[in-house]
Amino acid sequence: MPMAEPTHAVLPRPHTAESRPAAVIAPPEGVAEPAVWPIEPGLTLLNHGSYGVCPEYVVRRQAELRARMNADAPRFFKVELERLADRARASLAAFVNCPARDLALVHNGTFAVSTILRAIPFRPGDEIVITDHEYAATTNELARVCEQTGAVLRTARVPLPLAEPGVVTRAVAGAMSERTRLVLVSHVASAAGLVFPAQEICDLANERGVDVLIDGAHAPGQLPIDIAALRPTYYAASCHKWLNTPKGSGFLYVRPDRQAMVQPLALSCRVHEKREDRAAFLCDFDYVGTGDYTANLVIPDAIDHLAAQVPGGWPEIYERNRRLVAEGARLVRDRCGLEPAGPPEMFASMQGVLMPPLPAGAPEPRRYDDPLWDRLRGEHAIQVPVWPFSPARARIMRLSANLHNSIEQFERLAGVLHAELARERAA
Amino acid sequence: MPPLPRPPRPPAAAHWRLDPRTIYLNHGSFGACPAAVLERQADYRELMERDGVRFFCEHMNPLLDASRAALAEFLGAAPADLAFVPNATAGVATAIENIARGVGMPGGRPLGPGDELLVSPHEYPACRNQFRAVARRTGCEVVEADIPLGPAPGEPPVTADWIAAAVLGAVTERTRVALLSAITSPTAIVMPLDRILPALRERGVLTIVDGAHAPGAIPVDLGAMRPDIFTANCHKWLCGPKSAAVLAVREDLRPHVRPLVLSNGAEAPPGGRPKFWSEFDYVGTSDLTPAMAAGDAVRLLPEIAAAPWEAIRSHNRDLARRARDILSAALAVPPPYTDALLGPMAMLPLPEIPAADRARLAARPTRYADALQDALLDRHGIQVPVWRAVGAAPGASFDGRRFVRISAQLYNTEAEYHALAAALLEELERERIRERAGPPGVARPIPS
Repeated sequence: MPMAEPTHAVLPRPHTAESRPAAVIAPPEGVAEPAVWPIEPGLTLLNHGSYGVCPEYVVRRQAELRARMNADAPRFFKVELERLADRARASLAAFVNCPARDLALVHNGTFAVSTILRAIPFRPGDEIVITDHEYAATTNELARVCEQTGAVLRTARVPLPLAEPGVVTRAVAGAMSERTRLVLVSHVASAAGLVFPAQEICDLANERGVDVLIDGAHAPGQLPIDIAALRPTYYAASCHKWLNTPKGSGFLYVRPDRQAMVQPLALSCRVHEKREDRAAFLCDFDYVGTGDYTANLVIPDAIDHLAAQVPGGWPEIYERNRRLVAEGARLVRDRCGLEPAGPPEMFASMQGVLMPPLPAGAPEPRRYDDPLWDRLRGEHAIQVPVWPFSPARARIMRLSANLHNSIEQFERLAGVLHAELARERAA
Repeated sequence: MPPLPRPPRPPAAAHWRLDPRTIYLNHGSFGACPAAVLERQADYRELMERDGVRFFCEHMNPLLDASRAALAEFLGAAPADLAFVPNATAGVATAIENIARGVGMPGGRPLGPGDELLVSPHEYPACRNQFRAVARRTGCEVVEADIPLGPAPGEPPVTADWIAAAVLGAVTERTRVALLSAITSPTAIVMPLDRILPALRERGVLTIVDGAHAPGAIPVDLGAMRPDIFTANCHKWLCGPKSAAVLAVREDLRPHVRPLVLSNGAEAPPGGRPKFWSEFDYVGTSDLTPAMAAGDAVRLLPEIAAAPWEAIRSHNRDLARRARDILSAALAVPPPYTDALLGPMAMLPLPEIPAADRARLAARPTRYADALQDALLDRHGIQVPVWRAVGAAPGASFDGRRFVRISAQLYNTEAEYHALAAALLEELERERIRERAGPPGVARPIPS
């Protein structure tokens, strides 16, 4: 049959090519490459938290690995993948302070949480304690697990605005009983951006001999994680948010005595092969069928690239982001007369702001979860989430700050939001 | 001895980014994605990083739906039939886990003691692992259909009739589910599903068709095939990016089938989209650009080949058949299966190893399944899978035998299989004579 030469035809692109934004902050001298964030020019992105943004350097490192994958896939999957996974795991283990052999690399925090919830052999009457700030994916999976096993959900109420971290610990303690089989609490609560007292909750669970799963979807890169000190039974996390890896990157820490119980939900063709030189836990999770694992394989590149952007490395990133979002949130709140979701010491790189309830007769949101979110993105090119929370407090706006953000962006939001809220009231 | 210069690649190979040093005869295991498809994926990925929130809230569904429409047409299905999964392994696991809790079962009862799950040794090990795990958990039994790996010495090749009879002969009144590959992975048989599926349907057996190797390799018409659950990889013969696969579920079962992992799409499907789509398509934030670009591969491969899919498929099938004949003649091993069972891959048993040598050869270090594969790669630059039948493989004459599986894709030529034949003869000779004298060599590290 005739074979065509490559034509290099220009494919229709889903967007127009535009110039790249420059690095927002100047990295210290000697840094090989300043972080370039491929964010849409002109967009005020104050929602790093939902999906993260991957700097161009990391995107490029991933493309290099993907090219290797497509040049000789059998070699990549059978020979290189294990080495590359070990490299990623070593870097991550140092970052979250635990032995590398206790970390499985997974697509995201949702996968990690589900993997644990479906691995635990719950019996009828077993109780699972969560807070009312847990992520919807988690509560959906919990509903299925409870339906299938007869386990019962106990939800600790954590009302907003939150006065102090002890409220969370006491609410969780109050929801526990002698039937509690698992405590599942977010390290950083997704909707309100509140840092929950993970250490106290792990201590509480450990004192009572109950397993504890910390949902750290938002935690790595937003605040320091010390698994050795926390002593959770399980820790689930996404890396594509605040570690700035490509999307589809996360990890699952499993305490050694629970690893035999935990397997991927889809078993691979290698899962029956037990090896003397390598723990089954790693073999089982490192390959779960052919797929693109490169997002996790560039975790070290993301950690190192970001650390090199400021003289103080990651501790300085945490501090910068915390200060910037605190200052930005204060500007927004002061200008619009709003209240924070919690005390200053309970925020890291995200801050929840309590919003007035949606006025009766407000239009249905068209694109996002709230008409105000629609207008901020559609009319003002500001990307910031506004979502419903509890019935008592109708809406939360969650602000994020990362190295690509500036105080001017929050100033702009404050002005726009002031006008939009006035418009909302008048309508 | 320095390796011989590799045979030149055909012009079409310029569309791929294969390692220039390698004779790549294993498209089947992991596929290979052409540059044009990767570029399209890169466009989606760039869009994703510009405003991730907007991408997942606004662009994701239209881009997935466009891909779904192209894939549905390609597979003879309706878009409503298809959802995305990470790979066919996850697709089969999803299927059996849902059946295990009663989906499609008589009276909706879960699998339990007394129920039988029908597989065969030709099914993919990952899927057999999942079936065994379900059997352990539920108390049901996995039954292996006795499809031979090849004919007994002197007998004619295995036929479609033989295979259909072996599968249907293993069905009992307790058989609830049968797992059947469209093309078997270790043995590259195009299964005679047109004979097997109607008979299973008639006997009330649920069918899971593992089409991991099927799209782009053989014609797939789900409307005619009518399996209860079908899953397929788009990264193999469709040449999409890795992490692109589909799951198709019979319409009346669809509302009850749930993904392995539940996400925030489980409760309220946005905009009235089917829950089947919203639950499966987005399972936490992940890179969905492979699924988006899979639909582009449907269109781009014929552009690359300057020929329609039917011509691509017959080109690859004819090349695989010629390749098998080249190896068969060189190694003096008769083809195990009739030509009607061939797709773009072919499996051939390697000459029998004397019993005295088996343990020694099997103990050699390998990065793959057998040190012969390492030798072919390291000394001859040929990437081709070699594996051993072990233990309970059907057909006693195949116990301990090794197999080679070749693939044929647009970037391959007949000369490459001649090179493989020569390399195999040389390495088999080396195994017999040279290695018997000394200790096994240590596998050389792969240059990265």
